[in-house]
Amino acid sequence: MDIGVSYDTDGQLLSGSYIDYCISLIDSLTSFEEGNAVKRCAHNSFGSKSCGEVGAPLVVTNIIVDGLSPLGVSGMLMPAISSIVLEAI
Amino acid sequence: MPSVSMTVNGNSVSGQVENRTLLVHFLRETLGLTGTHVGCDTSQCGACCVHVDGESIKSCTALAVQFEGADVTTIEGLADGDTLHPMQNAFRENHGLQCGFCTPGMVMSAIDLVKNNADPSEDEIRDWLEGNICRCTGYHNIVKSIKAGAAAMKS
Repeated sequence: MDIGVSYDTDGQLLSGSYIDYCISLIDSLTSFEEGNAVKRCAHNSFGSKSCGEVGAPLVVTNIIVDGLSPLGVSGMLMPAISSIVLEAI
Repeated sequence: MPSVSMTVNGNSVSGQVENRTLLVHFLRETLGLTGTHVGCDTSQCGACCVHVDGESIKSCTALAVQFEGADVTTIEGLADGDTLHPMQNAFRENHGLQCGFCTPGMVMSAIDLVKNNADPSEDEIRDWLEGNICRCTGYHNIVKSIKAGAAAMKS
């Protein structure tokens, strides 16, 4: 299993099926409590902060960066795999 | 080409198929039952789950000619007219889907789970659904839906 799209040196796709491409499975995450923290954005007339579904990975990454801030981490690439987190530190 | 006859959603059907024709392609292309999806074609994702003689199988891993005389149920066969199957309704009420592509397979697999285990725990639901992939990663609400669907199927 691999994270992200990968090719070999001949350009052959190595992550072309769900056997090779690391996709989130049902046991990848536990259940969690849901809740809303509603706060309008002050920078546009709609009050909206984002739309679509790409917000969650950003939020999770920001949480990691925040947690690592005492170590001087101010930003990090995604996805938050161990090698990228280690590099950020 | 060989012919194959089976019961699908209570109707007797038959068709000419190639030896290599997969059950899912027989359902989708010969019978026009496109509710059963092909997500990966490699039996990883479970979007193609249907019931054969009451048990869920991945119809992209099965040849149509294997099922001569079998009783097949697809997602189209669950509802009673306009009344959804309790598990379908539970997915609807608990927002157990985002894009909906995996949903037919999730529902079919979940019903088979509840047949085997009328009151599955969250862990048992997650264990059962290891072969069903939701690319939206909407598993949280899928688990909630199945718990609600299991309760509804009891009553």
